[in-house]
Amino acid sequence: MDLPALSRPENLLWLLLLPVLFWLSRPQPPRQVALTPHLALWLRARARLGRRAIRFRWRRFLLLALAFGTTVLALSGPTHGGREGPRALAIVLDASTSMGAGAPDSPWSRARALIEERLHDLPAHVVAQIALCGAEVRVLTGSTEELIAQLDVAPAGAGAVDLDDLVASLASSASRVAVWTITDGLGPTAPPRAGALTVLGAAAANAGFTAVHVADAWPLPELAIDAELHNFADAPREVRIAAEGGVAAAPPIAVTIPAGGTERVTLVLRRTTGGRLRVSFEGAADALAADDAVEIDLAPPPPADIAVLADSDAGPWIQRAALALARTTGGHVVPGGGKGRVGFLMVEGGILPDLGAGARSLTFGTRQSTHDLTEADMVLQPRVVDWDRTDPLTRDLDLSELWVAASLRADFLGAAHGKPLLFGEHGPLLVAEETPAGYSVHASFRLSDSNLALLPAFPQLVRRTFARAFGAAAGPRLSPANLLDPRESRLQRLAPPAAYVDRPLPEFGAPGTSLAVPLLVLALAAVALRVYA
Amino acid sequence: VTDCFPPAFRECLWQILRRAPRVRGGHDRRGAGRQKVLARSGTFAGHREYEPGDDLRYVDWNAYARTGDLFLKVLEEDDRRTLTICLDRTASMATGEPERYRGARRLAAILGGLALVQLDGLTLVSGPARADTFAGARSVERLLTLLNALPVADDPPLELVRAPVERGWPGSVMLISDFAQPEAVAPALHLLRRNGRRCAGWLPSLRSDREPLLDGRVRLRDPETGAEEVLDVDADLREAMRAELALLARQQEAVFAAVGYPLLRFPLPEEGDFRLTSWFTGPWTYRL
Repeated sequence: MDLPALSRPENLLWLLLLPVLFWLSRPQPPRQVALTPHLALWLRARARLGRRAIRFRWRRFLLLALAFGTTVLALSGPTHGGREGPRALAIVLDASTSMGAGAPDSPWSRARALIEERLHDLPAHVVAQIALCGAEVRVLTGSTEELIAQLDVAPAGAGAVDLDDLVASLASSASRVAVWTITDGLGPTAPPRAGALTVLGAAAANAGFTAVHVADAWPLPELAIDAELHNFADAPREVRIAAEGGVAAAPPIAVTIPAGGTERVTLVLRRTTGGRLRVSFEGAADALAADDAVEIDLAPPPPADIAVLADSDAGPWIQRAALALARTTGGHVVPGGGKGRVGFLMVEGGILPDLGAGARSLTFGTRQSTHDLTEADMVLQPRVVDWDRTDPLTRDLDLSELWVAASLRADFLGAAHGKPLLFGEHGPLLVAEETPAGYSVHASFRLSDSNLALLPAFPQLVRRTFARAFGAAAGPRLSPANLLDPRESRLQRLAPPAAYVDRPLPEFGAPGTSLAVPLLVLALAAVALRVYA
Repeated sequence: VTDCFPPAFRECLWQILRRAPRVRGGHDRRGAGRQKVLARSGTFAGHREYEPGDDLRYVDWNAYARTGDLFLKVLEEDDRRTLTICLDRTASMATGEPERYRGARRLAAILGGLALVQLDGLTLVSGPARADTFAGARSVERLLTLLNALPVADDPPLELVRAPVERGWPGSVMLISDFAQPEAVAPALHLLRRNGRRCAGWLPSLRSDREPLLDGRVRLRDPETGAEEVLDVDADLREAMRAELALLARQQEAVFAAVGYPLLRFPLPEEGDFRLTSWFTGPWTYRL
């Protein structure tokens, strides 16, 4: 005859309270003793009331002990007739990118089908959980339908989770848990040595991007992409690399990658609209598509219109500088003074009391106040003392040959709050005014009153001002998820072949019939019988 | 040993003894009538010296005239008026608050003292093999000494009254007991009745004889048998016990009524209460 199994045997420790129960069951000793010749009368009076003598009653105590013992036994979870075996299923699912190789009949889709089938066949008392091992471990819980619904994700990550450690810890933390690992065993993912195992898929030839570098000349349209491709196959492969999206159309580049070798390719592109740029390659017999393309977010080109404002005393240099800037940025020059907002404004001379918030501009000798100009407001032949050699705008520029015939002393745009970049004996000759919404550079002298436009530093100054005006946040962003770990791209099995042999799930245990209710009924009966004992 | 008769009680006792001759009803009328007859026709047996408290009517004045000393005439033994006190010394007497046995001995002292003052002699039966005889008021002190030294003993009532009957001691028999078991007293009373003896039962009664005073969980012990029992005394049990005590009182009355003897219940004063009014409430208190 099989003894009942206890699911919580630690509760049997409550039986140690039986001596206390015995002590509490003893009648309370009387506090007073009285001598009386009428003891017989007292006993008759008690008998007349139908009362019983006060003394320890073994039968009542034994019934109480029986009730207590059966209750403790009921609390210990007694079952009878069950079958030993796991009561829970932990599915460790390899969700690394390589599981998606060979779509649509990828190991990932087959794993999903296997899990769905297995979950539907599980006994009702078995609880299932899925540990999704991609870039990190994510535990999925819920009903069978909820678990299957949560598997509607694409495998991603480089198999960084050590399945062997994870399975070992799961198996050791709960002995009644069956661990089932589903993996392709490719790349860095090695099959665990414990638990049930199902290995899907097989080794395959693959090539992929292993490194990408983007050189963006924004706000200029030039763009250079250096891509590194690796061939993980045993034979050379010929691929064609193409780029599309946000750039001017460029012909694909054909490259032959040697067996097990790496090839570096540089794509020179020209930005048109910016946005998502996809660089991909095509070739024969490539098992994994996830490493065949990279996506780059390109900043859109700056506003194309460059406006010029110049008074009648201005020379030709401001117009020429605007045309040169439009050529390099892909924009065009528009007449200034319109009502609409322009991308960049170049001004020489004149009076502009308010440039407007967020203006991006480059001005030369433009006054801010409207009163009549006096002699004191001017500085004739100001001497150039030095310039800021640390500011990104003037760093590495040679302004030593700058000569200025006349400049405004203080009444020019940005004189009050701008950061001095070029210093004269009387004060700043060039200032930069930066606000949260815009960036402008203001000179206290006209181009026509100086030789600045003739200096080699002038084009640099204009382009830097233009680029600085649109900020640095427009740099390209490479989506890191698209650049796969090279180890994951290598679709090879590295462990000995014996490690990839499937192991079946053990038979699940079955819960026995609970004896708690009968035991509690027995306890109640014992308590009831104490009334008559 | 605690002194059963402290000076206060002795003072009270002597006050009772001094009052007793003047108390109407203090004398047995039949005894008084027989005394006169015996005094005229009794056989002169001799003289004894007068002792304080002796009845002056028995003084031989002729002898006083001749000698100048007081002498009392002594009659023949069979004509003497005597009293026999049978004191129950069973362990059941040594219970209660105040202790019934102590009160019984004080009652015996009063009854015995009255007998020594008013009658010719006293016999104190305190056991089957123990009987002490006293005569004269001077013997009161000896009586007190004897009573004070009497321990508790287990003698059935029948054995106490057997000696007065078999030995033919004259006079009345005073049986002092708690009569806790009336059926055990009945044979003794029937023995006295068959032998034509006058008898009266004295029961030094306590408040607990009428009203159970216990409460809560109590261990009760019978001092005679040593039996014990634990009881939870509450109002219901006290009520039932009150009925049992009333039934016992009726049984005691019935046992004495069956033989025509009176049962006198003497309410014992509280311990330390030696006032005269507590021990002597009137001429009818002690009937010899």
